[in-house]
Order: sequence, then C-alpha cells, then structure tokens
Amino acid sequence: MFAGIVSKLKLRRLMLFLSILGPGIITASVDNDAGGIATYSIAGAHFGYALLWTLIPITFLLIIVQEMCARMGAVTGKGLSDLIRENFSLKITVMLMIGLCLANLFVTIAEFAGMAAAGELFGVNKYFLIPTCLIFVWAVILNLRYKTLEKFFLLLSFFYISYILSGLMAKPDWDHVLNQLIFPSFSLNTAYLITLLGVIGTTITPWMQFYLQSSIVEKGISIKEYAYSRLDVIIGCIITDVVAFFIIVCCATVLFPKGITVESATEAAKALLPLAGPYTFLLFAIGFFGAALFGAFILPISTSFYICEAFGWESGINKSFEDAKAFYLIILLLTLLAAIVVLIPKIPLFPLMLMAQVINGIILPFILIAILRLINNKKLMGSYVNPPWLNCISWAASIFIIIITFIMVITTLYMPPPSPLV
Amino acid sequence: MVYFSELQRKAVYDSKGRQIGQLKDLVFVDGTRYAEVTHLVYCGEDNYPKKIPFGLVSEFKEQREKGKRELTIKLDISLEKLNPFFIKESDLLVGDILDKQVVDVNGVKIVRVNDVLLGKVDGKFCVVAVAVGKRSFLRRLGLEWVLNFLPFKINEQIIPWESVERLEPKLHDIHLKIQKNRIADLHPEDIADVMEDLSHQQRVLIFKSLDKSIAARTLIEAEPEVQRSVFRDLKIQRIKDLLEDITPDQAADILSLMEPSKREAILNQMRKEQSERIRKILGYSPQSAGSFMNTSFIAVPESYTAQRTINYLRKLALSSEQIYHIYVVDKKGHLLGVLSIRGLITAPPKKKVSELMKKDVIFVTTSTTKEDVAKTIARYDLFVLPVVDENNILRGVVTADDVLDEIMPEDWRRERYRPLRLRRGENVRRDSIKAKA
Repeated sequence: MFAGIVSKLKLRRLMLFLSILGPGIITASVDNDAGGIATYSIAGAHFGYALLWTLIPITFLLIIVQEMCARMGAVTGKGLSDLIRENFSLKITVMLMIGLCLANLFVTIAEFAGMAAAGELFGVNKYFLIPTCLIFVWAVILNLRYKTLEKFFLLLSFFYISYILSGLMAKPDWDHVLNQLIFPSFSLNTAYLITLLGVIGTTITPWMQFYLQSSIVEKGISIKEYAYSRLDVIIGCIITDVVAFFIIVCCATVLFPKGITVESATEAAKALLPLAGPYTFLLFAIGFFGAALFGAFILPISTSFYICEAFGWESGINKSFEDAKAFYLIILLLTLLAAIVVLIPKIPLFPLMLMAQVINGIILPFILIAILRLINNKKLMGSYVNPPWLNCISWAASIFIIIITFIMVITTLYMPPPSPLV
Repeated sequence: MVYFSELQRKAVYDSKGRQIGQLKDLVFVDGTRYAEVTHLVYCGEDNYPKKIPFGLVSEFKEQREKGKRELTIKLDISLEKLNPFFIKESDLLVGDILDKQVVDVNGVKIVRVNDVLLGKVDGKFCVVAVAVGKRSFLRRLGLEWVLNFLPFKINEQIIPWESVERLEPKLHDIHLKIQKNRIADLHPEDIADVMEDLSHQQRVLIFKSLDKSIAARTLIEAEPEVQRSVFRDLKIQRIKDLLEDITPDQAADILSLMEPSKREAILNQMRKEQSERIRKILGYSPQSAGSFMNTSFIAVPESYTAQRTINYLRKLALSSEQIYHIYVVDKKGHLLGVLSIRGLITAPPKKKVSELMKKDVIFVTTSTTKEDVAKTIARYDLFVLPVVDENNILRGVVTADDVLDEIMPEDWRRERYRPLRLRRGENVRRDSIKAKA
C-alpha cells in the first residue's frame, strides 16, 4: 500500500515535471541550428575527436547562463528585455536592440539558407521549398496557442535524434571516443584554435537568453515550480551537447580518417553518402533540415519578444493578433525578409553570417553583464539572488565567455574563415 | 512646462552661482490629478544622492545652444545654508516612472513611459502627464534634432497624470493603467478639465497631441477661455478640420468666440453646405432660439410610408441627436406635422406619414427669445420643440436641456458638472453642459 502511495506521488511529480518541461529543452535544442551543425561537422571532419572534450565545459557554461535567465523569468515574471529597459538606460537598450535585431535577421537568413541547402540534397527546388516553408511557419505561428506550439516545438526537437542515430551508425571506436571526450587534447595550430572558438562561440548566443526567459514568462512558470524548470534547463543543455557530440563523432569517424575536409553541413552530408551509406546520409540531411526549420521558427519569435518587451508592446504567442499586432508583424516581416534574401540568385550569404557572428560577439558581453547585474539586484530578485558561490562561478564563466568571444570577433575580422559555414 | 529628461543630469547652482552638483531625480507626492514635486535630488562631488525641498529652486535657466534647449537649475539659497536630507526608501521618485510599462484596463500592454511632463499648476511644480510618443523617445536618446530633418511630423502622445492609475503605492513595479484601449481615447471632458489649469503653451502642447475627433470634442467641453487660447496657436486648416467633426451649432458656438476675420477665413475653407448652416446659426440674434437650436433633426416628406420612414431612420444609423420625434415636411420644407417614434413603429407599414402625423404642432420661431422658448417648453411639458423661420420652414429643434443650459446661471452648471465626474465611464450625456460663450 505504501508503495502504491509512493509511486502515486512519484507519478504526480513526474506529471508536474512533464508539464513544466519545454522552454529549456526548446531553447537549448535550437542552439544546434543550421550554423551550429555546420560548425560541429567541420570540427569533426577536420580534427576528428580532438575537439570532443570542449563539449563538457560548454555544457557547464550553458547551464550556468541559462539557469540564471530561467530564474529571473520565474521570479520577476518579466522578460530579459523588460528588465534591461527598466533597469538600464534607454540608450543602452536601444543599441542592444538594434544590434540584436540585425544579428537575428542574419541568423534567420542562415536558417532559411540551411533549409534551401538541405532541400537541394533531396533534389527539391528552393524556389518551391522556401515559399512553402515560409507559409508553413506563418500558419503555425499565427494559428497555434503557446501550449500547442510548445508541443510542436518539442516534436521538432526529435529531429535531432536522427543525429544520434547517424552517429551510432557510423560505428565509432567507443574506447577512443570516450578517451578523447574526457582527456583534453590541445594544439596551438591556428585552424584548430579558430574551430575551438567557433564551437564555443556558437553555443552561447544572446538571443537564447531572451527567448528562454520570455518563454518561461509566457508559460507562466512561478518560483514554486522553478525546481522543475531548472531541471528542464539542465536536461535541455545536456541533450543539446549530446547531439553535438554525435554530430562530431559521425563526421570524425567517417570523414576524418579519409582526410576529407568539408566546409559546410551539406558538404558533410554529401561526403557521408558514399562512405557511410544512404541511411546515415538521410538521417544527417533530415536532421539538418529539421534544425534549420526549428531555427526559422524560434529566432524570429525571440527577436520579436525582445523588441516588443523593450518598447512595452504586447507580446506572446498566446495573445491574439489584435492585441499583439506588433509582435506578430515583426515575426512575419523577419521571416519574409529572410526568405526573400535566400531566394535572390547568387546572393553571397557568407558575409552576412560573419556579420551576425561579429555583432553577436560584441553584444554578448553586455548581455552577460546585464544578466549578472540583474540577477544580483535584491529589489528584483529578493531572496533569489545568486548565492556567493554561484556568483563566483558565473562571473568567472562569463568573463571566460567574454574573452573567448572577444578573440573570436578579432579572428573573424582579421582572419575570416575561407568559406561558408552553412 | 518641462520634460524630466531635460532636467536630468543638469547642473544645479546655488544663489551665488556656484555649482553644487547635478540633478539626479525629483521626489513627488502622489495625488489624483497632479503629483506635486516636493524635493529635488542631487549628487554633489561625493556622488551620494541628497534631497532638498523643491521650494528652494528659484528658476530653471534656459540657454539655447545651436537650437537646443539647455537647462540649468538655480537655487535660492547659498551652499553654506543648504541642509540636505538622505532619500528614504518610501520616497517616490519621478525617475522611477520612466520606462515603466503602460497597460490598458484589460491588462494589455501598450507602450512604455518615455518621459514625464512637469509643469506649474496653481503655483506648485507638479507631474502633469507622462509622455509615451516617438518624440519623447527620440528626446531620451538625444536625437530630437532628427525631427527637424524629417519630411513628416511626429507628434507627442501624452497621458494626463489624472488618467494614470498606479497599481502599487511603491513605484518599484508600477504598471500605469489608462482608461481605454487607446491612449488618446480619454474622455474629452477630462482633458478639458485638465487644460483649464494649464498654461497656454501646455494647453497647445497637449491639444496638439490629441487626435482630431477627440480634439474637437475636448474643444467643446473646454471653457471659452481655454478655447480662445488654443485657437490662437492653431492653424486655420486644423481648426477647420476640427469644426467639421462636430455639429454645426457647436461649431457656431466656437466660431463666435473668434475674431470675425479669422472666422471668415475658416468658414471660407469649409464645404459650402456646412458653412451655410453655420453661417445661418451665427446670423441669428444671440438670445433667440435660432442661436442655440440644434440643426440636425429628422424630417421626412409627407409622401413617405411608415415602413419607408423606418428604413430611412435605420440608414441614418442614429447619428442624429434626436430621434424620438420625426417631423413631416412638404417639398419646400414647410413644417406639416410631427410623428413620435412610438406612433411610427406601431403603425401599419403601408400607411402614409401624412395620415399618422399630429398636425397641431407646437413650435417656436428662430427669433423667439430663450425665455419664451423655456416658457413654451414648461407650459406644454415638452422635451423637444421644432424651430421654424418666418416662412414656416423647419430650421432646427431645441431640446429641454439646451434651454436649461441657456437660462441657468453659470455657477449652477458648474455645480452640476462636478458630481457627474464621479460617474466617469458611464455614458453620461454631456451635451447639456456646453460651455457658454
């Protein structure tokens, strides 16, 4: 009988957890968007398992930053952009918004370009695929309420399982892989360092912090349920890097020994076809398409969230079009612009991607410092400010990320990578 | 009239002209209509905020540099005698209003506060309104000069402090609540009320921020003195637009306040039929029924059937103030009879109005004095009276409350006006409280 009660209690907590689950996993998943997958593929093909170890500290950094945003959302009930406008000067807010908006537009273009590239792998014409995807994105965003949309997004997260499968199907030497994962190897080779920076740089981006916090607020998660939400964030971050792990493993196992270097995710997929068979290719390509589609949803939504919050306009997927006109119009406009740019024949997208990377890199330090100052603001957070030990860790982590991004911005500006990332 | 952002971080000088620091913030005490500013918060060299009573401020010195307004704050007291206090937790700061979220009554987010408008009301320096428009947004960014180069105009949007509801006594997390869905959609009579207490520039500033139909209605509600001061600064075109939005008798009321030359200029720009109607009203002698009658009424030809009349009413969509009485006229507009809406609805649809109407209509002429109109209404216990001209052509109607307005002493009307304010939100008829010339 006791066992029955215990299991009932457990079941109840599980249900509660499942109902809270969402924002953390979704945000972290989209971290592996078109650009992220490209970076991991390149890392695997060029350096084998040598970069695997970075995933462990990256996961750690990601959890530190994301957890703070999730906590702020649950305690204050406001988005990150709300808090920035209310607590810092208007000038700073506006400058951050302009930068973020540009960077996110460029990344959205990259997502659409990713979809187009993935479509070409299957022989689908982009002039057919992109408009179809655009209408699909619009239809979903305009028609679904937050609860349904979240389920849809969680479903999209399952696309990433294809990467895990493709990694498994590559039949790597697991002893060797685990060895490389746990014991860091280091090289002073410039290409290695740049890729290393790229891997860390694509993982922690400004928009994620805004999206996570806003969706926690929109979901209405309060501090009482926060423990589950934190679990959601942690699980999300771990899953994300597990997926990244398998992408690197797949490319490293199949392509690296043969000395095949690739410059983009689609090239990687093409190279996999003769070496690892049609199934691996298919899984890899489907995963890539799914990731790009997912990004094409989330990036515009997150952009719209922080612009609307900064200006005090109504925002949220749960709001009607009438109430939150600006919110929906920004999403529609961003996706439309991105789709148009991708459809322009022979448009060089690479400089845009570099620009996005540079802008994000410049903004990220400000965002991180803003987060740290907000989370330690007693007026806002009450007793939920960072405890001293966590403050030490998060400041150290932030400074580390800031230094890395700074170096990355400098290298992108002075030694731009030779070819496209997508 | 000054925006908080124009004062922020501006130098504060003592009576001997020595700089004692920078203005950091202002402390205010909340009130329903205005919030009086009680203290000035400044930061001296020690960078620690201190407050001093606002009464010590002697003036804001204005300097124009390259077209930009630069303010400095001058105190009435010398540095040595200054005795500043520390700020308390409970002090309300003007700076805390900035950037706060504004939501409407349904809790829908609308915009954020970009600036706070401060001004002198009854000799006290107060928070008068919050600004939420693009103009104040640019000013906060230090980009107001951009406006000079824009081909179009950007208006300021202002919410009077009176219409702002503070959800919490502390401003840490205030939401400002405004009355209706749209910012400009305040009750015109409230705006008119606020305007009475403001200076000329303030009035024009607030008035210009209102949209056309609200501006027109505000103008009607406002006291003649306010009307005059607003007109002084508005362009003919804008006044014309405003007047086209209100009824001819109201327009005539307002026009009668203006100098004849300006009045003519406006009338000449209006559509012909409209200006004719207004001219007609203006032409009647000021004490007669013609001067205060309402020229929008419902009249149908004698050949109409009951059904057709009802259809006609439906098409008018009740835009007319008065639908309880339908007048029947011949082709030349001579008054033949009157029909009540009740009689119309209960009648067989095919029956002609000439058979349904009451023929012995009690009426007055355009030259009847207001006292006689009042007497007629009282004697016959009427609600509405038709007004005809010397040729027995129907020209307008006079309602009982129009007459009441005309004959009641000024101060009585103000008495009646106040209690009604409490019922804001309900649709209280206000036509009766027209300002008198």
